[in-house]
Amino acid sequence: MKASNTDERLMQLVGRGDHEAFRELYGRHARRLQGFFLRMLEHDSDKAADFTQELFMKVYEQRRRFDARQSDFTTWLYAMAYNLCKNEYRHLEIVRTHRDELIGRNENSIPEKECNYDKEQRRNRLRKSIASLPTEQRDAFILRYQEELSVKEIAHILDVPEGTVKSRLHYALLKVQKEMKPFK
Amino acid sequence: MNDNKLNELEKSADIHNLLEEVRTMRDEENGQAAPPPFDSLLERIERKEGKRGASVSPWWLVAACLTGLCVGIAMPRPWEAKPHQLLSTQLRIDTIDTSLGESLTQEGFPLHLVVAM
Repeated sequence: MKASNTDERLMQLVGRGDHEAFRELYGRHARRLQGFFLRMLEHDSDKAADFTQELFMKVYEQRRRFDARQSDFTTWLYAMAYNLCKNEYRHLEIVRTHRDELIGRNENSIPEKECNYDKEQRRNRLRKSIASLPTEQRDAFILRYQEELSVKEIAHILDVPEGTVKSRLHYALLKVQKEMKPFK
Repeated sequence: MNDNKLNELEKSADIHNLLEEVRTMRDEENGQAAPPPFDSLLERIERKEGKRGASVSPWWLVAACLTGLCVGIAMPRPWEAKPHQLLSTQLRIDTIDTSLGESLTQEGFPLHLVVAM
């Protein structure tokens, strides 16, 4: 019965304290969101699992605030997930700044020369080139091409105009394409 | 940003292949690790909610203070003398003063000692 319900209907039931509806929602979205956290948080799988739990705890805490007329459940969920990532970025930025100050160097650059590229190397390079995009472009890239959200949804999540999202996507694609040229 | 520019770029063979690869990677990554079990999440939520429920609400504190105040007002205070007792003491002193006082002063007792009794 629960399986045939929409996410929005399930959220209504969760709002009334229905744990089975919440279980169904978790089953539908947890894996996908864990993958999202994995990509957003430097492929740290432990952190991705922690953030997935944290996110669904927030969903439960704010179950009565969800309004299906304002946004669909997926957009609402990704907006919360993205906010968690943003907080983590701030924390990571502080840690990095301190580390760089201590070591006295910047490790952002990707080694230029690699040869005998096999599939795995190519993928590593692709991962690195996505990770090395400016944060705003990377977030838009992941949400659009890996999470497959629409430009409109991404604009809502990032709280920017749709034109800005498109512009970020355009520059991100060009950069990734350039980075991947030697790996053709 | 011109919509067409982005569309053209996305449709170019190079980018198209690249995005296909990105999606394949995503599917592999999503399939790699199972999310934490739902029951552990529920346990965490219940623990958190339980803690929140156990904390004392400020309204309970206000109610407790008011109850204490009412009980305090209603309690008898033995250290406070009752007005009729004071009156009778006064009367007794007056009686002493008038009946004994006269006879004692007649016998040469100083009047201030009689009042102190």
